[in-house]
Amino acid sequence: MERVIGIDLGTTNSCVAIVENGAPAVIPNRGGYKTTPSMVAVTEAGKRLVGHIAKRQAITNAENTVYAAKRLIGRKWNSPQVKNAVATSSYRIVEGPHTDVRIALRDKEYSVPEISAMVLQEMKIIAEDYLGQPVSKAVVTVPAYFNDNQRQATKDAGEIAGLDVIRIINEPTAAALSYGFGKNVEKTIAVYDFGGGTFDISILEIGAHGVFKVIATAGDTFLGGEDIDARIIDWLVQGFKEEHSLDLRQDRMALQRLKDAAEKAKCELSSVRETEVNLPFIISSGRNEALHLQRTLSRQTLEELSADLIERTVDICRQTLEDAKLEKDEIEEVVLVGGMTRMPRIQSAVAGFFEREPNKGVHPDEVVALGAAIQGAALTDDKQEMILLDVTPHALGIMTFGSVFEELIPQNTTVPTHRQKIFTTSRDNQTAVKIIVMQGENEDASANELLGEFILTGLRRAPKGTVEIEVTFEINADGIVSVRAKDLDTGLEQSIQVTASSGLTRDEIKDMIDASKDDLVDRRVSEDFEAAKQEAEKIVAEIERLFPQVEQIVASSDFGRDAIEKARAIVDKARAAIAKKDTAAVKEQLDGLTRTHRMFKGVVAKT
Amino acid sequence: MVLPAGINLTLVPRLTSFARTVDLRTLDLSPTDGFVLSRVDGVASGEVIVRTTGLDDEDVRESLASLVHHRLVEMPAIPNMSVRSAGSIMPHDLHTRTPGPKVSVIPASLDSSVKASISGSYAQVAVDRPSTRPRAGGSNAPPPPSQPFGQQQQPANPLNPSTFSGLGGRSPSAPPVRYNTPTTVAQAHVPPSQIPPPPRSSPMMSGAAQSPPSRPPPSGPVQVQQPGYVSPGAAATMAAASGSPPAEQQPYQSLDGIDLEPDFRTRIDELFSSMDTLDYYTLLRVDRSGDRKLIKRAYYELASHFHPDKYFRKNLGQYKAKMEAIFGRFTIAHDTLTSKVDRAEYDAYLGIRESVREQETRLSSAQEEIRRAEEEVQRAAQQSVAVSVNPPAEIRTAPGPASPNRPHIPTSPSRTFDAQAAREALARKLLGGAGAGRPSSTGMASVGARVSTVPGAPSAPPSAPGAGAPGTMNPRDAVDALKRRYEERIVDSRSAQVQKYKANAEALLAKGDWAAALNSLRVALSFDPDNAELNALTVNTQKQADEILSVNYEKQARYEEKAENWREAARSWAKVARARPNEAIAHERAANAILRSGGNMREASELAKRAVAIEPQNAGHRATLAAVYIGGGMMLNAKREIDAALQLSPTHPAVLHVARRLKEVG
Repeated sequence: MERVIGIDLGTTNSCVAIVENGAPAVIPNRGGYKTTPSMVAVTEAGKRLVGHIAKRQAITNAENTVYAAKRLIGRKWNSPQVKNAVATSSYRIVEGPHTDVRIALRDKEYSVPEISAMVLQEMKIIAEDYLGQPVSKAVVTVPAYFNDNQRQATKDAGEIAGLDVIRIINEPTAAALSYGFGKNVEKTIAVYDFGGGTFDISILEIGAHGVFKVIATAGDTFLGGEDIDARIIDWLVQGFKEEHSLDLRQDRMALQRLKDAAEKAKCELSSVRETEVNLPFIISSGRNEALHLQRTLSRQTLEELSADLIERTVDICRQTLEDAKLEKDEIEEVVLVGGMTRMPRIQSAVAGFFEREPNKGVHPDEVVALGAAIQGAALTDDKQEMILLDVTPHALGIMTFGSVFEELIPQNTTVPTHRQKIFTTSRDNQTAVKIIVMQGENEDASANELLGEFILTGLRRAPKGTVEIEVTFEINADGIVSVRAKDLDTGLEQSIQVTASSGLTRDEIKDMIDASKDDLVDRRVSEDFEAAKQEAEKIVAEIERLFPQVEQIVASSDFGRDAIEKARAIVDKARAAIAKKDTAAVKEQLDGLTRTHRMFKGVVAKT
Repeated sequence: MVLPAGINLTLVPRLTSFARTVDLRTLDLSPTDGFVLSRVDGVASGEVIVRTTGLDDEDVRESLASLVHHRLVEMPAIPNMSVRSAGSIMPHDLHTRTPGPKVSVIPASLDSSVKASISGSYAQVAVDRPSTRPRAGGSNAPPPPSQPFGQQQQPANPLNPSTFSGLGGRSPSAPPVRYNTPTTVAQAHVPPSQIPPPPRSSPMMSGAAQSPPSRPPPSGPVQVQQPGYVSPGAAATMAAASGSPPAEQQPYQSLDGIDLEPDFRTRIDELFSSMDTLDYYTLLRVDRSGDRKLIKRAYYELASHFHPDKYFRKNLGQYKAKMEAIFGRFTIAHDTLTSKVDRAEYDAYLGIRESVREQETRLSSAQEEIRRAEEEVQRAAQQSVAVSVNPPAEIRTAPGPASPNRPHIPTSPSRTFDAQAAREALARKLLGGAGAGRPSSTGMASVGARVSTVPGAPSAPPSAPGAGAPGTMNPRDAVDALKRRYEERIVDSRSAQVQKYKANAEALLAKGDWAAALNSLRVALSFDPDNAELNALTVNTQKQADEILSVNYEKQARYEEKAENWREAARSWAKVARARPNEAIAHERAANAILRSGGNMREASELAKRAVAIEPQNAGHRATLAAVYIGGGMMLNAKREIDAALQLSPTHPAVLHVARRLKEVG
């Protein structure tokens, strides 16, 4: 059976997981890290960088480094969020051919799904390296409030990355799956998810028979840990300015270091009361004398800097609880998700609002990917007894005359579901009607998101209002919306499956998939090399493991020193060969590695 | 002194231990040096530093040379390694991060104990390495250490606050740090309870290994306990009970390619066709008094069988849509019954719906009851004859044509048995087939005329005076006498029935059971149609019953309206309108519901017109009529109505809404 990976495609970091032998596990990347920055960059040489390496050069190559692409995915060029991003982003955001959003990196324009695809592809490769086999299916998570266009765009990104995204699920829902997986509990829980770029809250019920039911869900797109980092940077910059009358923001090297330091200080203040931000040689003064930044940031100061942001999350919690028609005391568990929930002030704010100590039993950075992996296994593995009953995050309906939005399926409706309503013609002798499918909560249709449209033709010629058309909305378990219009007179029927527009046409997606395939070929190394590399690495690891022991044993003898030096050289040579992706050179080193390994084993065994 | 030109950018610079202990501020460095130093992590090569800093090759070379000069950084010498470098931070060591003793962005003086702890934990990790995992590549590497919640990572480079360590293995200059077996690490974050037993020891796994992938049929107590639902997993449940795991079942193979077992298909088909008529409790198979928890459990149980995800990407054919529809229905039932307010309303609605149905059935059964009462009258009359004259056996054996009158032979009720009747019966018996030639319709005629031909005094002796002996009696006279007698009995019985039913009705009225009382009165009236008192009482009761019924219809209609069940609402409102012919609102609501349900526009317009006729000054009614006209395509009429409505109330929201629609349409 083919394995399905779970990917948490985050605003700032992404994570990939899989269910192995019935237990979900996160797959670390080559650096051993369980999360990978969701950043993509193109270097001057035209080389594409993804993940940590892209993050590290972010500020020095700011205009060609994309971060937080998730905030743009599936959005229209003219949306306020995009306008805002255009004003604040360091990379160039331009209008695409279908009023969609494109990102210009060096001399090429990329669609947002293409950018996200690069991150997804990275996650795919991490999983493939780990599993030693190709992976083609994935469950990808999105913020709960994502609309269909954003979800579709995420799916397209998966497709471009060569992944069949078998299901898109909400991040807090995934967290709940991970929390409740294998626990035989019946509980109503709240999942408070404060991540790098977004805030989400969901209320769910975990029931008997492995059923998870979402009750209500809400969130804020532009509220995350990055906002708190920005507050710290402001504070550092301000302090430095007061002391030296120099604006660190003018220096991109300084800014990169500030950003790194702010994030680190924030993380540290979760476990200590105060931390020192120490950045020697941060900038040169006017008299060409090096200046150092050294400041102590206390937890209390950080809390003051971020108080209003935290308060905003509590307000959203209050609203969601109302939507769910639940009282605080009906929430039996509060689960914290997202790196920001490590912050003590946030924990106490959540505890204060829900009047209960939050559960910290899940790993805030990994739980979402784990949940996605669990859902992937539940769908494809018959042995998994788990069913997720998800809801529609937004209302669905059609636009009627005068731009009035007629809601057919309300917000927070459990899927699969179907609803129908009867409409009528608006002109005399009207032989065709246009059904415009929309999503949103606004009565004014134009304020909602357009999902698709189709035309029902062949209506009987009759005075307006006499021909009746029954419109049926259906959302299946896969979250696919179908809309059917039926002429009640003649029984003629017309329907569409609403494939939300991600801003890309099918042809474009196809081209991108092809382009990405080329890219994939470019990025993946030959299997021959892979095999040699794995073997060499295995032996290197063995040698490394024995090094300390061998060193200790032979420390006194000259012979020993010699041997150790030799061994080191062989290991370094092997590593250099691997780094150069030189298959032949790696193979050359294998002999020496095996010999060294044998010798080391002998030395250890003797004593 | 290392010359800048001597710096090979393809090599990976490493921090020296000196860099970890020295106070950097005492050194003569430039901000660029500081920046480059902050990027040195033992993983990034000079080229990578060039790329990630955006500096020129020369700048990086110069800075690295300066850093090497200050003994902060060392460049590896390939192929000859210095022994000293063994102690430096190798890329590998990056995975041995341990929490530092001091948490600061730059631990300016990282003492040697940290270094020790780094290599110490390295050794430990190496020792703890998991046993080899079978994999395609066959390669294994030490796993990174676990980083439990809240624990901070200690970066390899104290100058580098980012948590970056490994570059992609595909980057040409990045060292290949690959970990293929982090299983144990990943599991370190899984609570022990979630870690399943090893696959080999799991019966589930071994079962699955033996059989091709098949869905273990769902099973549950509900199916077992409630035979009304045929469980797809019933067989499996039994198999499980008898000790064999479900996974060992033969996978179901269907002929049409649909991956559903026949039993489950039957269950889906049954539910799909019946679900619309079942009330929510019956649908979810819970008791009317079942609490929230019970309802939830029942729903979850059903959801775990009927949610289409259970058969993700399986071929379900037509059953997929059916399962989705069934699941949707379950959800509505669950959502309604688990909300306090909605459930109370639904219960009230169910109560009303049922009592209305009961009343309707009862009212429609008045004719049936009249027929029953009439039969009773006949039976009573016959019985009295049978008791007085004929042994039951004889009646049964007597040939019909030979005694056509027999069924109608009048007898007194057994309670009022008298000698005369006995004598007459005897006479008839003696006469035997005397009446054989008489057409059988005689008896029928007497019955047919039972209401109009009321004979005179019941005591009138049918026989001649002195007729003591049976033989002296004229047979024809005897028959006539019997006939009269019989008719008398009928009349007696009828009037008794009238009294009985009237008394019954009065008792029911006192109890407030209008429908039942009305039925009784109708029966009574059928026996005595000209009874003025009875007529008045019936009319009055009818009014009361209609009123009560209409109140219930209205409640029902309002609930249906709220649930946007417009078809039902249209029917219910129409009933209210019929019961209250002078109530405008009922007519208006009925018209509105028909309009919304897409029903008969003619009917809707009649109702709306009536509403306007009753309350001509109500702008809302006119708006509804106008909307109905628009629905019916009668734009001129609609315009006339809406103009009138606007004159009456220019700000009425409904009026404005319809006016706007008219404008759009017209």
